[in-house]
Amino acid sequence: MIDTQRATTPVADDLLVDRRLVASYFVAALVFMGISLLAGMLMALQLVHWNPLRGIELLSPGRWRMIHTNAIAYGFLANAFLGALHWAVPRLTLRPVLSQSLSWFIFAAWQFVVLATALGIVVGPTLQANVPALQNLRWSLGAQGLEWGETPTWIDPLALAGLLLVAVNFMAPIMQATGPLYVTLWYFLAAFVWTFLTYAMGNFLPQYALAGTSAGAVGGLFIHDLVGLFVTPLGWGLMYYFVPILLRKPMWSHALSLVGFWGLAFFYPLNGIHHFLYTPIPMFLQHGAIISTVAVEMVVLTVIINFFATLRGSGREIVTNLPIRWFYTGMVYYALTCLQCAMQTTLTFQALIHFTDWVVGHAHLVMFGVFSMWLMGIMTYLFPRLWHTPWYSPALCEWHYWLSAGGMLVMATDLILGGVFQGFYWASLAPWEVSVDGSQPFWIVRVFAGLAILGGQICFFYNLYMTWRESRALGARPLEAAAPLGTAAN
Amino acid sequence: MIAQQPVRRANRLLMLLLALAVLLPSLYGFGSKFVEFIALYRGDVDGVFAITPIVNYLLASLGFLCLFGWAVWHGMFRDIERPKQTMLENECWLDQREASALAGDRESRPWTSAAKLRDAALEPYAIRSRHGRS
Repeated sequence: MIDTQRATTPVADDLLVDRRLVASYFVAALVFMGISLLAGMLMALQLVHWNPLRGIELLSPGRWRMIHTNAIAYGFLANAFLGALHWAVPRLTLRPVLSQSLSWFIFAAWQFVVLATALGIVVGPTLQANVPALQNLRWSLGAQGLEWGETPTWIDPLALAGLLLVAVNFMAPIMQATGPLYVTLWYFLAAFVWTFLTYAMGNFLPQYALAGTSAGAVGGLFIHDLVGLFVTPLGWGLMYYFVPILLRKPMWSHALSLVGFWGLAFFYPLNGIHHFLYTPIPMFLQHGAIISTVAVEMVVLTVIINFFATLRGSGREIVTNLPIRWFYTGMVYYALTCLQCAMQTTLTFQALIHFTDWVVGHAHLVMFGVFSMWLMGIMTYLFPRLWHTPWYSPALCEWHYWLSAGGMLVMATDLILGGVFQGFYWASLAPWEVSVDGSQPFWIVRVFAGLAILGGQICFFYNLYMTWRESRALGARPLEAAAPLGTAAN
Repeated sequence: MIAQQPVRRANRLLMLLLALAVLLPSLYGFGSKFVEFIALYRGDVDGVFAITPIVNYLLASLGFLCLFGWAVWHGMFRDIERPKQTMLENECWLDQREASALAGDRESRPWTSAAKLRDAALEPYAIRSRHGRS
């Protein structure tokens, strides 16, 4: 069966994986990562009363904050995931994606969606208020009133169509694969369906069909499902692919990995309402969300055990193999963030940390500490393979890792601790300003942690540019000369 | 070459225990809350608020229940550890093809095995610290 699959695999490697497309997705992702980090720095500076763009309406902190979150979610994560998928899916299924032309179209369309979202957030409201022709439009050109779903309403149908095309393009080779599926492909299949449904639910139901508490409940589901049903399955799916190939040994237990997948499928979708504890949403639903969250924590435990059991006997790889170090650092942060999640969904703890910087620390730990770190590890591994050129400076790769991981640790600890302080300030019924003044030391530390993270990425960008220059100088050689089947064997 | 690892009894037992640890409390929780939900929906106006996310969840879960049934029916869980070996074998095969393409013009090097060929061709791209270089 496997031989049949291999026999039908295109001989030239470039026909299986479009390396230029993978690299283009990664570069686009890194551009948006840079924008997001700059926006985050501006927000951090605003909180310590040093906003360098004070008085400029278009660059006001409220707009930059949305650029920060949207650029990381849809600009960096989505682009990087799509790039990694274009590498992993064809190699796992031994078949190319449905259409490489479609892949390039999706690439261009997705950049349009993200840029149009950014433009809508920054200039949309101002444009609509000042241009008479736009004042009578039924829909707002600015941000949609939905956390993590600020994409202007007119872009939503385009983005949804894009997600459908992504699903069709990748599901074609997966559905042709024969025999039992590897766990990564299960995660990917689910992610394509979930992302489409989650995006439709969050962006259309509250906008057109629901109002009040019901819309709030669906908004909560959307926020959390975006992390759990779009980012998480793609992230874990990629880890189940890259970790074994870099360690050169199989996962400890494939069966346990499937327990993790099906557990996520059945327990995750109800979690979202735990973002809205103590709100007018019926307590029955809030309790249900807490119980399903605890169930997911147990599922997470099975996944973590599986990965660390796989590492057993190869622990030195953490020191010597940088992509593996990125991956396992992300996993440690993942375990921490899930532990945090289990704590913060209890009503007792939620009463203390609701609306505080604890939640901000949690969000940064998830989005940067876990998923961005995994994607950085993937890029660290793949860029030299894509360009057939070693890294310009392995030392800069190390700086990238240490500044990112260290900065993240400081930032998350700082914000989580600051959140607890804020919670106690509010519980003591002290005036609001007291809590703001008390938060200043934490916000100052956050600026420096952010600078460390930004510095790490600058190291990476520079290293990447120099590596690309070297690849041009060496003249990257295409792989059409790949040997026919069997000739490379002993 | 990747060695076939036999699935040990302890692994199976651990998996079963973890599955039970996840499933039993969750089923109890969901079951009791579902009963509460039915009661709430029948007797209180609040139930109307609850119905939207619950229906979303039930639809998504129903889809995955069908998928799960399909997977069982098509033998996706037979020889359950095999896919992890197949994946690595395929990856190894793809690396060999890439390695032979990269090393095609290095005639002076006496390649003796596919594994050496792959390692030699791909090793320069692996990121390793100074301590890790052998």
